[in-house]
Amino acid sequence: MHKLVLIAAACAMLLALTDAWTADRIARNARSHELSQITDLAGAAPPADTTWNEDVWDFCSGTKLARSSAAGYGGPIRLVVGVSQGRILGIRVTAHQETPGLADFLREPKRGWLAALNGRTGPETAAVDAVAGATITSEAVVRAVRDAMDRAQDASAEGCRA
Amino acid sequence: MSVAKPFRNAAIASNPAWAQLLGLCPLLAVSTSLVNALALGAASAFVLLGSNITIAAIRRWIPELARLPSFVLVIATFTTCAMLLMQAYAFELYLRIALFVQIIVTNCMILGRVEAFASRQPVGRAFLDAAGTACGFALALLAMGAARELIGHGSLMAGMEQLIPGSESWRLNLSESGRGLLLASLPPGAFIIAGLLLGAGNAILRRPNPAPSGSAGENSA
Repeated sequence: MHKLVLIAAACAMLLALTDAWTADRIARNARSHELSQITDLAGAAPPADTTWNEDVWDFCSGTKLARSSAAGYGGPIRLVVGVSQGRILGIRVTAHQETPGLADFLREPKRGWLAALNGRTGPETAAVDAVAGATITSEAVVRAVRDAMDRAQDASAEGCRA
Repeated sequence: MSVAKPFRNAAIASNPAWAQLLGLCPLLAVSTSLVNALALGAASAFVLLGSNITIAAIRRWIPELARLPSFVLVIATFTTCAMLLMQAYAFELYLRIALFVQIIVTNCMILGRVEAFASRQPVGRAFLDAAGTACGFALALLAMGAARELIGHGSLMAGMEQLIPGSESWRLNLSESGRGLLLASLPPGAFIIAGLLLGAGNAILRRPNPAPSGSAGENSA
């Protein structure tokens, strides 16, 4: 059986090489993807000198972004919420491991279930029904959204020197 | 035997999708647009070529009892490489079809070709067979993708710039609204169009004996 070990070692080596070759590029792609989602959420490109501060990104224009995560069905669900005057501007799920198919609604922030949360305040999200077949996923999203909104509210405005 | 014969046989006569009905899950799920189809076709081709050539090269060396685990190990390695490369060079596209790139591992088409052909043939012929199978599968994917995008969205090659930089102008719009017959982009439409294309292919090729040669005819994952 030692031949199988050698084959496995060769496979592992090939994977390590590919990973070493692509890791930087993938990280760069993931960052620019996050940035484009943020721009899309806030309706404007973020000022160059701002960044995440305790998971809140203050645009100093009344719009804040807050990120949070909650344990879903298959692992953590990470998302970014745009908040303006205590209400949800939009939600973008940045990473999740929920069941493919059933959780496809997480990828469609502009229609369907995620869009139904828009315009609500934190407590008002409780009135939104969970998606059938994805109760745990939906409840985790609501938990993460409320947590993000709390963070946005708690964040002081001292970062803004406008 | 001519060089082209294994290639042609693998691509047309025993086309993995239309003649052997293998790999239908990704075929039906991903073929909503031409660019998705092209990306999955390319990823499958990479895995097919990589694993067929590798297995053929080490075929005398693979322990008979641990044959299948070795095959799956090699296929999984190439699939993971394809995933990493796609994340590095076509990130947006990868996000949309990620799941179906991952399950290339379980595509019977690939394990079938490795077991039935590459593990018993020299590298050169295994390469031709893999290239033929990959072209055949890509052909099926592209036909489905083109038909569904055209009918479902009234466009062709939308979003191609995600795969080939600078190809925005290739896009063809046949309907102003970007809407078409929604059914074609939904799963039932995939089955209907696959059936029609299969029928058309049978009528054109008029294969006298529909039984495919060689590989296992089990259902695809």
